[in-house]
Amino acid sequence: MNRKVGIEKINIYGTSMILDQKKLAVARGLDPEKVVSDFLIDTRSLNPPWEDTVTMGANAAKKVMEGIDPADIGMLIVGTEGSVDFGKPISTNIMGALGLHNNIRNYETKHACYSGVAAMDPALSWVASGHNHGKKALVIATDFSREHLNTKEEFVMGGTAAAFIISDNPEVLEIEMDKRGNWSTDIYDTFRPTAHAEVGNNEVSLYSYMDALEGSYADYCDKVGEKIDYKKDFRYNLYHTPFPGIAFQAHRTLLNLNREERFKKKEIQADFEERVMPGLQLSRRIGSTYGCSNFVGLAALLSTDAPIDEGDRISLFAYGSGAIGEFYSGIIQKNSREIVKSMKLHEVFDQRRECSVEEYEMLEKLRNTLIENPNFKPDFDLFGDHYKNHYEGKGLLVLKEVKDHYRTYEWS
Amino acid sequence: MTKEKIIEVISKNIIENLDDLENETIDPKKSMKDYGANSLDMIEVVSCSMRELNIKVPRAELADIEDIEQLADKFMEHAEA
Repeated sequence: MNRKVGIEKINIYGTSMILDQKKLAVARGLDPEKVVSDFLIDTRSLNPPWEDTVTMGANAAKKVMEGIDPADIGMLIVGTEGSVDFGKPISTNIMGALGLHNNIRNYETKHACYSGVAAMDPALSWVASGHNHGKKALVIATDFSREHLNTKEEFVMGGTAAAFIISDNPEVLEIEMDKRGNWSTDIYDTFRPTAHAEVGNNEVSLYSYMDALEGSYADYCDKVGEKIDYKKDFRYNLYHTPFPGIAFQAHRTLLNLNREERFKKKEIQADFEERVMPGLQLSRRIGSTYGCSNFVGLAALLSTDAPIDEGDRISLFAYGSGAIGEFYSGIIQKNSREIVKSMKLHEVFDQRRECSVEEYEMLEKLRNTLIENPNFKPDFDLFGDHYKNHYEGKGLLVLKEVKDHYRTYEWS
Repeated sequence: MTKEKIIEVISKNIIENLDDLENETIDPKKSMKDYGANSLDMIEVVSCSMRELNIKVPRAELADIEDIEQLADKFMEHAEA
């Protein structure tokens, strides 16, 4: 039980197109500066019609698998709340696309935005148990928003995929297996009752998020069994980000918990800038990160130059509507930063194509017609040269055709 | 604990957490939104008030509350329980 386990390698796929949130704010008659400062989203990810949760997951995983023998992967788990099928898990599509061998276990996990951590959990336990026969697990989280044109939720949408290797060589982050706190309840806050509908009540969800944060942190403290100084014992704090702006409230809540005298707003703001903001630098470019949240946060933190040292403890909070909260921690390793920086995530993100508000509106309406559509072929010429420039010959997975519900994918 | 005391604590936290309310008298018949609170501000006011009053209400029960007086009533239920 004492073997080290955690994340060996990680990659984030941020889609191939974006929308500028300020331009969207102007188009909707809102103050662009306020929209950005409230939600802390600069751009949101957009997918062309030839991408879905399968392609995003595979495209995140492809770079993670470089240099890894597929025969070394013994398990593939994919977390999503945006699957393209109710029975066949998208882990099968991704397994096929990546050319993984047949003697692996694969399945999909669901728990709203907790799906990614839900997918990581059995992989961690499997490696920690020693019953993994020396194999590694490939874990993927992949999610994308539904259409929300002209709603107040429109400013907190997005989509992304995270892929990472779980092994007993956790060079990016060792997960502290005996320090994981949970808190669950039965509530309708945000949910997806059909393949089209992503619905709920924002306020219920925000309240529930904070209950789960406090509840899972209290459980974490019980399991640690020692007094924790929230400000000193974690070098950085990563929070689930349905929108990055929520991290400020989350941070304020835990900083002030169990304190006689509350921190002043200025002190909280300074601590937030120092210990939370570095982990938000990718989600600011993605928008909602759904089940990828903690992994996007980790990759963002390690992509910055914010000071961090081997042995530093960071905290992570995952939340899934419905609901569950998990508060856990990990230890930074010697090469954590170097490994993540070598993925050059911001440079890859820089290559995304910006869409106008009109293009975005057209795209979201179109994508709505593709959900559960039994027959369609994506139009690769839809955004001019975008396919040619960004995909052709680049080895990205794309959806080629849906025929009688059978989906065909190919590498570009 | 009286309802007046609860309203006093909530009002104090509204003034402390929102901008430009220093000289304002908080009307319990109004919603925090009337004083410019966004969703995250309301959560903070609720958190601070619960801490100060030593009351723990599942926050999910608070989503449908429309004004400050209703919030105080909800706190009363849990204060007496």
